[in-house]
Amino acid sequence: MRAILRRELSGYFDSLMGAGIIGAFVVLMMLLSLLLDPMGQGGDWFKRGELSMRTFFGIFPWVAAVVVPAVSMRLWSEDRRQATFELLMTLPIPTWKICLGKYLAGLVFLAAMLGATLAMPLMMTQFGQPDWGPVLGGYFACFVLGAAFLAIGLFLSGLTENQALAFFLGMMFCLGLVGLGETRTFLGDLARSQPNAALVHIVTIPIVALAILAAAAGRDKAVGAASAALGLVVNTGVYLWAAPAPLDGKTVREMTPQGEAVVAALSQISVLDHFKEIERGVIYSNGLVFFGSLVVMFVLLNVWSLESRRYS
Amino acid sequence: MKVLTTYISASEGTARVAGFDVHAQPNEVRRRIGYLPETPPLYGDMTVEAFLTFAGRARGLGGLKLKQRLDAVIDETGLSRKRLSRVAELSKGFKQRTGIAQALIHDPEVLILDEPTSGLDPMQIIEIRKLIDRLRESKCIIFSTHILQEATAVASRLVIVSGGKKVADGTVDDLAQKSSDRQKVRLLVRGGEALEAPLRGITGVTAVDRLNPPQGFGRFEVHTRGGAAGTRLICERISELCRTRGLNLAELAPQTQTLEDTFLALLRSKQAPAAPAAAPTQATAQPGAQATAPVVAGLPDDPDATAAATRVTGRPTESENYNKPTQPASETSWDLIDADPKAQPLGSKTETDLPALAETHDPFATAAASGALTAADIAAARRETERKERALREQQSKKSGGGDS
Repeated sequence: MRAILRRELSGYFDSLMGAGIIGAFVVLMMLLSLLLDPMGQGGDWFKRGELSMRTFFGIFPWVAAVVVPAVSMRLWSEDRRQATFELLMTLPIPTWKICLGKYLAGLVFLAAMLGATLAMPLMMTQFGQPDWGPVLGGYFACFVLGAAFLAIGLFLSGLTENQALAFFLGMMFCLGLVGLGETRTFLGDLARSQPNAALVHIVTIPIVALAILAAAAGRDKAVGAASAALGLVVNTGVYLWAAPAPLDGKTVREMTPQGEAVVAALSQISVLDHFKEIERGVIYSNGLVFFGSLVVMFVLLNVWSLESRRYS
Repeated sequence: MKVLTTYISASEGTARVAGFDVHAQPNEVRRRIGYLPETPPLYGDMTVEAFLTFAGRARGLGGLKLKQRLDAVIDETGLSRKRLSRVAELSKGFKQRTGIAQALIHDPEVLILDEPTSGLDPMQIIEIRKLIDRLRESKCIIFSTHILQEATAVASRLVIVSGGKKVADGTVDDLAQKSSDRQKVRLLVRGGEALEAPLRGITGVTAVDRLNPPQGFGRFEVHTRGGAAGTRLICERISELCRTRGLNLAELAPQTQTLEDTFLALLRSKQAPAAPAAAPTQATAQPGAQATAPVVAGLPDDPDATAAATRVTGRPTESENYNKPTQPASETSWDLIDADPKAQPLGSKTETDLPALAETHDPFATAAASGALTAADIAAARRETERKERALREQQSKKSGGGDS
């Protein structure tokens, strides 16, 4: 397992690939946390005139949903493309150890990636006394969230020899998981102004998730199409059942009780609420269990999907 | 082959390597196998040394032992000049050698090479063959190839597998014997367009092919049985036939039989009509001075054909069950190392097993192919073992001044 870990780390750090991903991540995080204002704090950093890590942690799930799949995409796809997959599968190392070795290499890289952004809180010490508790809590949340995305990415990477496909599937999946947490915002805000947009939102994300699962189930186009259609039907049904009710016969709508139920269920699946929970410092929480089970589930799925290839 | 390496799982039957079942104890099998897939399994971003170090560590080597093995395999495969080159920058031949070095790093008992010389230039092919020749002293080597000369040059035992079924198995000598049994005669007869049916009627003729003749002639290729003598007799019959019909023989030429012809003939005669025309081949052989070279063969004409040669350290045997006539052919084992030579009666089931194998082969041709191989290889390897032992006994009795053998 250590041999695999070392090999994968050299795969990251001996090539420009690792440096490129870290560089892109740092630049993206820095720029966005200085320029964006997702917390409604009144303008970007220059306007606010104050430096805070809140924006950084606020946007991390969205950035991670794009960057982490780029980290994980090569873990198996590269071996699948070359004959090294055959080598790995005929080594006297159990498959789960190989998967774990690759996963741990990804975790080390993720830690390096996050470590590179420590420049930002360190910069703050020049201007004042940052409160290190919440900063560390936030970084811990970021690592845990990244670890879950990494496991998902590892699994998807094992399904295809195409790195780009592994990346896009991972990105869609992770973005979907993050986006579910914003259902209330979408259903609330969008429903008030544009009810159809809410429909689009609630219908498309589960379809994408289903299509990914179908792809995972076995490249069968018919199966993929059927599950996409099923997803469409199911989600339209859910929407009609839980759709915001019209107020005063005008376009302004409000959440029905069913709508509230759907939102609550979706936010349980979403990584966003759990992430925020840990970020706030609630370490022993549902959140850890949630992310922990995501990691275990997808690493096991990875082992299983590779092991089952022996019988196909 | 992929079943033997535990890369994929057989749909039925069992296979054993060095006494370990590939299903029950895959890790024991993997520990004892060095495997070179068709494309060498290399990480392009590593140097040769770093890659081989990885391969060694993944096999559980470390410290001084790893260093020794590293130097040994780099030396053995002639990679010392390329030690610090990045794998991606190597030529194809060096990549192939790095792949072999990777398979050797843990000094395995069994080496499995999937078409190790495909795509190499003639110099590189010669070097790989030399390498295999050096390694054969200490290891069992199984390799597959499409190139017939390679099979005959390198292998001490040869098995041709076609469509998941074994069609031939034996030493190069065995096959050469078969080839001298079956011969061909070409003839050209003015006005002899209608001779095909009467030619077929001659005893000893197995088949007649109509070839493209010049205007006004009949040209045929007659397949004969019975070796050189039989062929001479048939030639006499043919000239007699022409004479009685008042036709003039313009050409009557016995063809020199090549091994390629033999393999084609074997394929033609053994292949079930429905079987696809794929012909992967494998072979086993005994090491040691007395061992005849293993064999391998491929059919150059057949795009799907593969051949493999094997050398076996230790001694292949059948499983207990195998000799029971009722046992399905797929219930065979690949027992390379630890078997008692006297434990089983000597007997070749090779021929009789073929139909059963044919039945079991679809749709997982590879799996069945290995099963087939195994059964046949084992029988032949045992024959060889016997022969070897007899030779040893003879030598000993001569040395001691004793009587004859």
